Amino acid sequence: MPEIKQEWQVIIDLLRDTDPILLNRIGRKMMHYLYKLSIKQIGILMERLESSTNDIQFDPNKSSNEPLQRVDQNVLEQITEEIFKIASAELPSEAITQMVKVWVKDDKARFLSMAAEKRDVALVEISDALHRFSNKKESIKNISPEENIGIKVALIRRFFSEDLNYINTVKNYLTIDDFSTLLKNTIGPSQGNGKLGGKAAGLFRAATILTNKQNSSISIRNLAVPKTWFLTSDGIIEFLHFNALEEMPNIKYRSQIEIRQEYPYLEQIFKNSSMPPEIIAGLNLALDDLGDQPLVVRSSSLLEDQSGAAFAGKYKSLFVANVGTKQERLIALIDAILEVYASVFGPDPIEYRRERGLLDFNEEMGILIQEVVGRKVGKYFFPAYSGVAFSFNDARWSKRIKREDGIIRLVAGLGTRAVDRVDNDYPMLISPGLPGLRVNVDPHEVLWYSQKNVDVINLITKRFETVPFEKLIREVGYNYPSLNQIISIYQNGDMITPTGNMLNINEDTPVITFARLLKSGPLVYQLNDMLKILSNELQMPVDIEFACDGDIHKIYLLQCRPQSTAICHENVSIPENIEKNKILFTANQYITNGVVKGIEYIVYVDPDEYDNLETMDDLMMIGRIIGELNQKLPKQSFILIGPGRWGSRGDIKLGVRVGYSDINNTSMLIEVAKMKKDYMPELSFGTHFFQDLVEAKIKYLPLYVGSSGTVFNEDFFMKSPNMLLKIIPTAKKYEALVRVISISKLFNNASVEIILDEDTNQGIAYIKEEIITPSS
Amino acid sequence: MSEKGFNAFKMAQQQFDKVAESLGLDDATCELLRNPMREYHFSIPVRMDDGTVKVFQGFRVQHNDARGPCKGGIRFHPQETIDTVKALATWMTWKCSVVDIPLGGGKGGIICDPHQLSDREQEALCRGWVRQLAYNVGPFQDVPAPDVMTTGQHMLWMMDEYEKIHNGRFPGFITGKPVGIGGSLGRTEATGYGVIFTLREALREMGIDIQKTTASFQGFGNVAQYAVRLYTEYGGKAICVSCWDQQEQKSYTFKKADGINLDQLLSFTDKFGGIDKSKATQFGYEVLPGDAWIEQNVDILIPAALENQINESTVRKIASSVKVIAEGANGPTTPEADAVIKEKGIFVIPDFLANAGGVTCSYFEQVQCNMNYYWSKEEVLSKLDQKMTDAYLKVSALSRDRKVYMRDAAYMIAIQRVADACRLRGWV
Repeated sequence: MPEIKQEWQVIIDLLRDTDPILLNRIGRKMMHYLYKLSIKQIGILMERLESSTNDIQFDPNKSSNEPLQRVDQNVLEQITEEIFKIASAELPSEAITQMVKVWVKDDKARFLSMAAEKRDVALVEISDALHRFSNKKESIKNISPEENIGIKVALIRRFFSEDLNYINTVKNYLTIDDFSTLLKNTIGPSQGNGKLGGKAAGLFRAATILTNKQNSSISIRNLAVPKTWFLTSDGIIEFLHFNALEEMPNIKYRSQIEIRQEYPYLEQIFKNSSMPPEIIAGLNLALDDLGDQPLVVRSSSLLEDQSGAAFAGKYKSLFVANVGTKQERLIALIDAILEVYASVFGPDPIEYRRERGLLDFNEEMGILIQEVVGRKVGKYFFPAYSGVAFSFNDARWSKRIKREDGIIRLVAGLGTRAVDRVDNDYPMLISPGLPGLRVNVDPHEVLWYSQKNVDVINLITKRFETVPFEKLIREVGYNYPSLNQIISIYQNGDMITPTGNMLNINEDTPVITFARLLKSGPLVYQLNDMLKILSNELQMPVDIEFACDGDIHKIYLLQCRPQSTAICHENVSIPENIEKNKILFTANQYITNGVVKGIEYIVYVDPDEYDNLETMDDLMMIGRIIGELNQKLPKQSFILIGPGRWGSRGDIKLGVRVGYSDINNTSMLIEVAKMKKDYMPELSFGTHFFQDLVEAKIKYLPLYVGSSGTVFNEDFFMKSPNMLLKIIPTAKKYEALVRVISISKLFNNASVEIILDEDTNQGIAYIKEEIITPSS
Repeated sequence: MSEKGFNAFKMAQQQFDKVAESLGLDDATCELLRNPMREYHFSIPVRMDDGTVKVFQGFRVQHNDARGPCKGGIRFHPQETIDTVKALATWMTWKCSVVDIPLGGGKGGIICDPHQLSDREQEALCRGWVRQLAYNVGPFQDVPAPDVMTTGQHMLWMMDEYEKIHNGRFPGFITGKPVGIGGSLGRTEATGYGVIFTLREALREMGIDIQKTTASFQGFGNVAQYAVRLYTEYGGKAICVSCWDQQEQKSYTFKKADGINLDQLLSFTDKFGGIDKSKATQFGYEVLPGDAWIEQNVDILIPAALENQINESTVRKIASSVKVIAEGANGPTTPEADAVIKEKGIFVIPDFLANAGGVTCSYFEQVQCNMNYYWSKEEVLSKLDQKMTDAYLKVSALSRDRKVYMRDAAYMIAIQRVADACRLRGWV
């Protein structure tokens, strides 16, 4: 009776006749498998194989640089036979059959790995390959882990980034099907091989990681990402060719003045050019899918959002109301994309690249077309609230706040007001580690520093608009989504947190405080978890944008990137070997990163002299003198050093009574705590105008004089020539107390530089002499 | 506190000594009134949000309660000193006395910076303060109120703790509560209206028809707005207000020679009393520099903004037409300027009389709470009128009789009343 063949033997026989190459690959996989099981026989086979190939190769006259000789195909077949013979002796037949089947399936996905691996393969081919793979039955998609990861890595490289850190952090969280979904929403030159750009990469990575962590973090189980379409980075190249604008990329080598002067004209040239038909067709599809919800067109360039160069706010992001006929909506969308394209050649991003040595990089611009998160309320469209959150807090208003707890900038309406710093308006600042610790506590203060205007999309005018909050509330009333979470009522000097929905917004003053949301809502937990998870996974501080459409339990992630280096990692190393006599002071407590250069004047209010003032008039006068100096000294050329709490509103003895307008031209505000008889005075951390300082980027430093390991060159401040009377001749009485020191009068070609290094918790102010190169 | 330099309590004592001398008070009375009757110092442990415990220092100073329960604010201040609290408690005694409300003077606080505390921690601090003093304060002993960095919310936490300890409802324990939970109507109007009630009486005594007067106001906050309202209701012509411009970070004066229409002006004023300059110009206002309010040819000046605004340099700018200064703000006039005003013969309604509408309304809140019956706003304001008018008339009568400056007369009457109460009780 003939021997009954096992299923695997049938498959092997079939492959021997039909696909010997595949059989070879399967044979190799089996060999590795048996080797991993430490099967003795396979070891012997491999040794034999090694020596036999060596035998063939061995020729003492040959150099090691000479190519190997080819082994005959028959030998390879023979080896395969032997491998399977060993396998049949060592493994049960069912197991061999199972493995062989999986390896044959793996091979069916080869088209995908091939498509992904090749660098120049066109978008259309990869889309097609992914589509074919996704449409396969689940059993066929069940490929081996190695194959799976190989394909994913290839796809990540192809669409997002070659950066190894990027690949490592994302590869274990995503699936091949994620790419299939992604590419369904991707537009671009079909024969092109562009990427999706930095912003898309950042969002995709963060969303993938967070989605995978949803089971372990309750607060983010309702995390969502707005529906997004992508336009690949080579779209701009195609656009330039199509409109014969090939010379554009070289504009970057022109002078800054020329670029700046030409830019408005260039923007108009872009806006009057045509989009290639292929991309228009893609945008049509996108609009069909996105419907008539307002859209935001975000830049996503190759350079953007890489760690080391955040490009925050350098390229444009534009809102499109997306109302009207399909044709009108399409035109508006294209118009916005072209404006973002033009911003690649704008003076600011080019200067930013020049400063960072990125000018020669061949910058391409991908585009994200994203649904705006929000609701239609009356004629407006906006989210209930939105904002940005950072892993590192560089604006601590209390020493209880830890830098690594991060910071949230929260606003009602569109997040533009939180991202950008706006004059005379303020976002709510929250430290997720101590959310109850607010910058402003007194109702009047809360009112003063509350957000007064809201950014919205007006669906009638089809424009992005800024509307006073009170006007908006009078207009839309209770229809404002989750209004009771956002406002408090200011009534007779009290700030009242709403208990329910019965708000009297028509008679009393609604103020944006987010009181209920921050006290009992999920937002702080959501953001805290998001920041912690992302910074842990990415091993770097992050900066995320978020929004809420009105359902406070749901949070939308709009963007994620490494926290701007400009904010948290300025180049702040303190130079060594600074001569001792050039040091004005050093500090080692509550340091935040920063460098203040080119300080020409120091305004010093002596703490002891201030303490000795006896009358209220004298004490008030010091505030007035500071205000006058603030007006008379060149803007940003001076720093203010004074006792205790600048701007103290209570007891004037605690610090010079100044308002923000009296100090707004300084480049740094320094509070000196000098040991009194038995206590060290508390400093304010700038709380009296903290939010003004943050928005104006004025640095703040608390200086604890006499604390161990620090230097305070009091002689320099007290004995250097005082310029006060030259600037304010009437201030004779206060000459000993208020000292204005001109650095250039003391040293030639010198200024004061202050370097604050958060990592080492060290700060220093010293006289920096410019090195003059002798002219030839 | 430092040995040299400005010391508020020393200043309060010097002020008292001067008046006591003119009143011819005996040594024992002086000794009693120069110093607080009671001072409480205590520790308040608070469990912080991060789990640690921090101990805060609390105070209460009861300067004098001969005329009735002490009344005075609770301050949250990072570098509070007992001397400041003692000075403020002393001034509260005189202020309650000058408007003849049956209350004494107190002040208290906690050394803390609310900017460094969460709401929960502040609540714990408020409750801790009350726990330490629950048997030394109360509707019939000492009635606290909001002050620097404390609000209606703090008062409610304190009231709640007090009521828990004493097992009942005692809304009269504390004032400054929001309307609806023990607060009084009319509080917003009280100070501004109070200024005008005293002004009306002053003009009447001087034989000046208020309807024929003009006035210039410094400030356009709560006090000034209500003062302008009542003054124009009486037929006076307010021609000038000054306010702070947030955008430009400087102040401006807005002038309309034929009289301000308050409701129109309020329609383009923000919540901080900032007036929209372009709208103002559009409605026919002259926009002048911030200090122009003081040099106007008016009959009445009402400084209702900050302290030390009438000082050595500005006092000379006051026009010869000015007959009355009603001090709506606290300490708007420096001693140097005061001397010049005296010399010029301008009639002054001193701050602690003119702006006592606030404390009087606080007293009304306590009275209503103790009765558990709350008045309408009209009733509050009409009672306020009565109180302020009486208080003014007594001060001005003394000023005339004894031929003393109004500010001195106000202090004399206030201190005399307290001294009398001490004597009648047999303390001295």
